[in-house]
Amino acid sequence: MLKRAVYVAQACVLGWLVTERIWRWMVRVGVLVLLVGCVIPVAAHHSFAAEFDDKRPVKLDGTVVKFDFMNPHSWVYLDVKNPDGTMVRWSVETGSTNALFRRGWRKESLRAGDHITIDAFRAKDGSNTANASTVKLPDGRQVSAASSHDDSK
Amino acid sequence: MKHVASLVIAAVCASAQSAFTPPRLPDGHPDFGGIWMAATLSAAFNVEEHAASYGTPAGPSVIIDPPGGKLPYLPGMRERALDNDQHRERDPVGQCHMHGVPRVMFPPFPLEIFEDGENVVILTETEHGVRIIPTDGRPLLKNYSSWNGDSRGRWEGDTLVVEVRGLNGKGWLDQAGNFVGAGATVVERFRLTAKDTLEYEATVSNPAVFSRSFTVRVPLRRRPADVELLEYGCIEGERDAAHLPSTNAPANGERK
Repeated sequence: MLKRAVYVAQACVLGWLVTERIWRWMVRVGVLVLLVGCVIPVAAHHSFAAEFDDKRPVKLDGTVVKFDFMNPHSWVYLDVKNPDGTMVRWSVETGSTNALFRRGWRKESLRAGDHITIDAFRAKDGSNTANASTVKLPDGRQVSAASSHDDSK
Repeated sequence: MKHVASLVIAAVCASAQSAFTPPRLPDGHPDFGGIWMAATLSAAFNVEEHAASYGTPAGPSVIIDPPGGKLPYLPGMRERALDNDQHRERDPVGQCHMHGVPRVMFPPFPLEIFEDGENVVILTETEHGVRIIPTDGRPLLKNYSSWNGDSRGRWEGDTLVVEVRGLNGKGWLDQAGNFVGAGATVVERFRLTAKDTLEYEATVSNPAVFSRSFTVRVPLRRRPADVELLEYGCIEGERDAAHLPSTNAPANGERK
């Protein structure tokens, strides 16, 4: 599965110019592009491998507590209910404000109380920290998180 | 036959390059003004040829000299780079430091260039970097040391040649841990090869780390007209440090 993701990512790199143009056009007409299963891996502020483990994917389904729209990375704070009913707060890193802004994100894109699902990779230190790859919005749209492995411009 | 075809292609390319007349400023120098970004971000990941891994797409080497595209590390230095690769938390950029020359020219963020007749100015979005490159012949600063060093430019025809000294020797070349050490000097060459393509080359000389000089070439691509540089407050949202392994590694070239 991971290999497939890498291959898909590489294919996307080849077409990233086109993809970016599509992004820009669609953002102009007010439409968020769906990037399901297709990421554009571009270097970011820090290396993904510096902090996160590609062998520890995690799907976080929870409620947004706060969205900090910042550089060098924006952060989503999410309350996720464990199977035993206890609540855990996760800190999830996405791309920089600049990368997200150019992809159509705004600081209002996520609001406290929104129910979202994030596909991410856990931090190596075992804390409840992760790096997002895609975010499924309350209306079901799945968007790129422009994260460490998927940042841009 | 293959050689003939190669020659024809080379001749066509050379012809195409020489046929391009760059836009000029009133002083006659080429106008590099605009917002640019590396056409390929392969160099940001690793200046050498590299295979794909999660978070890093495969990419070719951007080293055009020496032949073979490998950094000419002195004995023991490649091991340091490989050690950096295993400890990417040491990357100065990940800690909000400046990229350093030449890495500052190919980050995954845009940069803006403008000229006022006496200086060529490069503003980088990442870390709010400012490179002011005088072209009036003034000497380099003495005993200066910083991430991006001190730059002096001169024109060779339509090519801007920039000599960079005063680098602090702490900069990495890429995210993979390739590095330059103390005493490095860099000679950069900027040349418009098409309306929207600015060819960038940097020749690095650093006898403390490399057995000979090497040259990287990264074409920069003009960004669309509606792209603007945005604020990049690196400290504001920096929340990674608490989750990184110790970053107290010695500076490049100073490891015991």
